[in-house]
Amino acid sequence: MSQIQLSPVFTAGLAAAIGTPYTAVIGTRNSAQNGFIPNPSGANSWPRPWLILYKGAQPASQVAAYATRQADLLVQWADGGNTAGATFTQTTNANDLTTIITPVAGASASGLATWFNYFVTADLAYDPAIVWSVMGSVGLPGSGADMVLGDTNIVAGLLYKAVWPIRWPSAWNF
Amino acid sequence: MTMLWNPVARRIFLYRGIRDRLGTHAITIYGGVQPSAVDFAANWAASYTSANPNFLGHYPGAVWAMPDTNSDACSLTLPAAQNAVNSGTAAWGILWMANPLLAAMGGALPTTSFIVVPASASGGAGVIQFTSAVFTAAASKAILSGSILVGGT
Repeated sequence: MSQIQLSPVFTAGLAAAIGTPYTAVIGTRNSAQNGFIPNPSGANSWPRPWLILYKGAQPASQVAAYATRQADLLVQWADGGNTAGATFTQTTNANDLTTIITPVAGASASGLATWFNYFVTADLAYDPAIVWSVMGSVGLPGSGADMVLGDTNIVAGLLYKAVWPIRWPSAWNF
Repeated sequence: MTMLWNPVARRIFLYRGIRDRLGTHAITIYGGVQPSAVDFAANWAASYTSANPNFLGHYPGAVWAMPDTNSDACSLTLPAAQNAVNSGTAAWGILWMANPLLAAMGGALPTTSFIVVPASASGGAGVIQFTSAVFTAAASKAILSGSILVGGT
């Protein structure tokens, strides 16, 4: 497997490049001109980001995650889709770290959150050819999970807001 | 479980990084085993300057074109052919986020912002490809193609 390796300084610069909301190019949701949170305006249009917490075992692919795990959905945040005017925001930290902040959303079911799926799409059609997504584990502080929550026991009807620090990788296979 | 980035997310990530550094870049081609980015920066003076026999060629004036979609690759506007510095077989290279000339490659690390990529003959796995991967010292050598398309799971 061939690999591309990014220098630490190049990767650090990416946090600023991606961590800053970029003007969305409507009609080109899969364009590299869009950022990781491509619709900072909060308008209920695409492209826009979604963050979903699930219970149960994390699947092996994002496609399977959305297509087969609706019954395990606990909380769903969508930019512009939860509260009028509410948006995902992000802050750029030092080095290769960005923090994504969601609006407040009510849990639709109760359960133990164990994994998340973050993706950007026009809607929930979830075409894997054009959707970009990141999936990982959810756990308590000290667990080493990709997303850390103070309490992973989600209760239906309660309001939740995610503050998610995400560290960018420095090597890619191709 | 490891955090999974789908190929489209990978391309968004990498292309945005290159896009924010669009301009004229240099490419250096090496023989031998491809190092990590951290090793390359740490051991530049000892192992990777133009004085090292694995330093095969250097191409200033390369321009990367940003794709309109993430199903397309970043493609290279080819820099001019250059005379090879040493003889050997191209195996990997550096995409500099700057445009140093060959004369500067014997001194300090040109910039700490760069990407380590594989290089190969045409049809191989290289981001940078040549008609033949074999370099002959002082002979003119042209890059055949260059493209970045991050995939995998």
